[in-house]
Amino acid sequence: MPEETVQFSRIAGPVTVEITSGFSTAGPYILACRRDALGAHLVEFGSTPKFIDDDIADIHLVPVAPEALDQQLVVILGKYRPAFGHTQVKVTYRFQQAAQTIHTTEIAETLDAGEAFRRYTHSYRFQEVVA
Amino acid sequence: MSGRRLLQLLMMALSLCILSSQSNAAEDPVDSVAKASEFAVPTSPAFVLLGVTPSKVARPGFARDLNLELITKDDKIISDAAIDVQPVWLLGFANTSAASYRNKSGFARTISTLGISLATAEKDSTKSLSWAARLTPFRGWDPLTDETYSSRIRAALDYSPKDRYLTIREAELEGDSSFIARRSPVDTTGMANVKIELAEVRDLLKIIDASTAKRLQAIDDSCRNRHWNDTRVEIGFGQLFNYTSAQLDSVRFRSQGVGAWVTAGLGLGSRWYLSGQFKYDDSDRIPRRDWGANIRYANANGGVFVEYIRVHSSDIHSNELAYGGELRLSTQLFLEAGVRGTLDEDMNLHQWLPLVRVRFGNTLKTFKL
Repeated sequence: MPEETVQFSRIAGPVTVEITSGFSTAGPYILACRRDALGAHLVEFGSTPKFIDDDIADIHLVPVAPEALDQQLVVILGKYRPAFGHTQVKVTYRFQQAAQTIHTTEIAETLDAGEAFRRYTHSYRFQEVVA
Repeated sequence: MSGRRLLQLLMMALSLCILSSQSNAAEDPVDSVAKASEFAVPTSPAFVLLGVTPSKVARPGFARDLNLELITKDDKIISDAAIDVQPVWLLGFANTSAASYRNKSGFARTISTLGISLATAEKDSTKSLSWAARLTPFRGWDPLTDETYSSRIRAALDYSPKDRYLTIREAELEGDSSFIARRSPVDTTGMANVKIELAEVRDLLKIIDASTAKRLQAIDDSCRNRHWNDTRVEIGFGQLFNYTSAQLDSVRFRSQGVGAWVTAGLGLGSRWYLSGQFKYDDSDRIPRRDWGANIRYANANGGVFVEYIRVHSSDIHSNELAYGGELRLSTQLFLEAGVRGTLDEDMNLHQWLPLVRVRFGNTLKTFKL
């Protein structure tokens, strides 16, 4: 599971995650967070169900106060499928704080012929920016 | 097999046996006889103009994959390169979500179907390159704007309660595994336990994924079947060149001709499809104009077609007539049969080429009569 570090500020307000897609990629995703501890359970957040291909904007508030973010992991789980007749999967996860993008992950892959969909798991650890 | 189905089979075989007695098909490639011409612009028209069937075709999925190295090596044009790309889709729709696509103009969606193919080949020490474009200016069904299709795909892909539980459990175990690995000394027993459970969870997810893939395939198949005879228009244009030097800095191209296709198909109800094509090709220095019409009938048990093609060039004027069909014997097993004949100027029939073949899924067994 790819684990990435998001640089954030404790004083800049809440963190949001925006999920956008390209090439008409379709599929559902799950947002969850957990304490960074052995045996901790993931807790889903954001309304369900969540799809990148419906008409609902995919912007979600990370439900953890900035002061506690560095003790948490945020996990984004997705099952994505290319548009009919195409092979590309393109999805972007963008973390934002105070209207600034603080971290971006781009999934841009070509699926094999006959591959109906692919699962993606991304885990994010938060680290405070030291001024 | 039911008695009625067996009778149909025997009638078809008998009909073909009668026709085969007039046949002088031995020297002709039988595979081209079995089916009606697909009255569609070829998927990769450049390969058709060049007369090649490349074993490996580069299909760049992202703009970053588009580069000169696809057709060159050491500053020379590779002689067996083949590229097939949808440039507008690749460059203009990379950031277009499914919802945004549905709101695009009809023109933008049409232009997104533009396909460009490019191929090079070397035959008898003559180096050739061809390029071609293909566009579908009108299509009766665009799956990307079909909300019913999208809803079915969403329902099939969505997490079932079991899938959701296992997906989250897998992520939890991966998190635990990462946590244990970061601690020193590593808890080997704990790690082993996590890995055992992780393997079990992944095995269960594989079963769920296989079932999901099957459902998605069934949805795609049913949509293809429902829209098999949608009205559509396709156009294609390509050009063939010869070149002497393969060195990029001194290469000179000499045009050898062009090819152009226009195809239109009209659905009549849910079972009939009337299609026609005009094709112009002077890529072998002999202008040739072909046009033809085809009518098909299809239902769940198979289909039949009748086709007429008029071939017209400076030294050839011929009329071709073909008919045939496909009979579903079981879910995967099909009997395909077809005959193609040439009509002379007095409309007398010559050179009937019959063929029967059995298809099991994608595996073909051909019988020459």
